[in-house]
Amino acid sequence: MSAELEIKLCTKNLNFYYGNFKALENINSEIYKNRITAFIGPSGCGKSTYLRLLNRMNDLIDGTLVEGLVEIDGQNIYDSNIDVSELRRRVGMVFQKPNPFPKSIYENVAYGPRVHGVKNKNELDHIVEESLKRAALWKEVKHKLHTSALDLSGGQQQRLCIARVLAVDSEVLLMDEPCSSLDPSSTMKIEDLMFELKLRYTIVIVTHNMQQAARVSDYTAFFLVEEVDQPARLIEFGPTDEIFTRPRDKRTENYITGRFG
Amino acid sequence: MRKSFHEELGDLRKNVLVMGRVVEENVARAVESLLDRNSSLADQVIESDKKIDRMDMKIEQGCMVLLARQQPVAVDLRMINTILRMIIHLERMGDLAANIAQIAKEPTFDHYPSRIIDLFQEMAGLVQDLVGRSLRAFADEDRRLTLSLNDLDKPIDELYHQLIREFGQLHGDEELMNWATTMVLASRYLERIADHAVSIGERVAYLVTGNYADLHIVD
Ligand SMILES: Nc1ncnc2c1ncn2[C@@H]1O[C@H](COP(=O)(O)OP(=O)(O)OP(=O)(O)O)[C@@H](O)[C@H]1O
Ligand SMILES: [Mg+2]
Repeated sequence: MSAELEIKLCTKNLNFYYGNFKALENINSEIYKNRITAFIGPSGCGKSTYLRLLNRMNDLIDGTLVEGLVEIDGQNIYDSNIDVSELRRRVGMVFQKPNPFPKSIYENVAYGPRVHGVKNKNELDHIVEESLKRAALWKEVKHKLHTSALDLSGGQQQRLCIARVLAVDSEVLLMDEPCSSLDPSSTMKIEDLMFELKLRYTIVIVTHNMQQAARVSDYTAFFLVEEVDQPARLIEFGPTDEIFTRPRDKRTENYITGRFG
Repeated sequence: MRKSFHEELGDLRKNVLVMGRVVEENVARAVESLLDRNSSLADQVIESDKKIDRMDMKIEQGCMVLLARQQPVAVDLRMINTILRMIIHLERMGDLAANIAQIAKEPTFDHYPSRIIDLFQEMAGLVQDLVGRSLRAFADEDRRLTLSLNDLDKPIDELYHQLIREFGQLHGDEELMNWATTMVLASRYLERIADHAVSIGERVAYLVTGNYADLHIVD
């Protein structure tokens, strides 16, 4: 891993509203290329909201409003000339519950590249194989690519969803509690996979599991809503080594040591 | 992330071995500098002890980070605990070697009783052997080897007491008595170094067996 940090995504003076409700206030943060960044914080502190801002998934919710900047490679993703489907190709999302299409394993992975214009069968085959390999699923499914994805185990389905994102040549992987429905050994597989993937991709993970954040991430961001109906703020952001051995903010310390409230 | 965790733990373990090698080398060089009154060699030992202190800090930080991030259990937890305890001993051994080197820089005295030097040299040889074995026990996780360390410490203690008796019987001018005082100290440092090596052995035994009884071979 190179020592130099490159900023892949960043937000500046970011506020976010669901209708009249201000959910996030003044979030300034950087997400580094080829690193894993974890978002932690109590339920309802805006982790998912913030994650969805990074590829404009919140656009799909009525009445939302964004103030401030969200940049990818220095370009504001809320600019009017941004192609949103291209943005979502570059910044892919993996959800808490694996959500494969009710189709074959092959079709699940080939779907994205097809939508983005890949027609050639050999090329598609290649992309499917490569993506499944990168998602550490190939060995388990190569003999049954044309069976239903819904017959896979939860952990395998989650890796399939990761393969689906990789198939469209994503640069950033946003993961919202990707392991919370998985057993410990599937979780460990996903964690190992993340470690491999960060060599090529930038990963952001939201997790309720503090130990998981500590294990997998290079950087940790702690979000908190201090009073009911107040917006969430980013309390502390820093290298995971430091956050988990000597956080600067007392509120972070209280949260990660379980002394909350 | 167990894969990378085990790599990181392996790296820490290797760093302890490197630190151990520097300590071992410093003990040998400190003794040599004292016997030869070689003050430039003594300076090297004192300088090199700073390196040991830095390694101690770096390894401790590495352990802290692994504890915080990986929640190690079982043999992994015992390994980190062993490392944390071992580096305390190694750091102290390094300090004691530096203390001996410091004595080597004091004014020479030419008419010392050679009997004392012989005893000192014999003791130093045994101490170095013990230190080497304690580190090998860690490197190989060799419990049998750890069991022998306590026995090897006994003749060292005997030689130490014999030296003290010899010093007690010395009479002479101030120069001789000053020399004797520094040599008593140097012997004491050597004896302490051996005790630390025995403690390292106990830690290694505990690492291998997980049995706390292994921590009290020595009373
Ligand atoms: N679609 C929505 N419409 C209105 N309010 C929403 C919507 N989604 C989230 N919120 C509100 O925004 C705030 C942040 O919610 P968010 O889901 O981002 O939190 P979170 O940190 O991801 O929580 P959890 O850990 O429980 O998933 C909450 O007060 C929540 O009620
Ligand atoms: Mg959420």
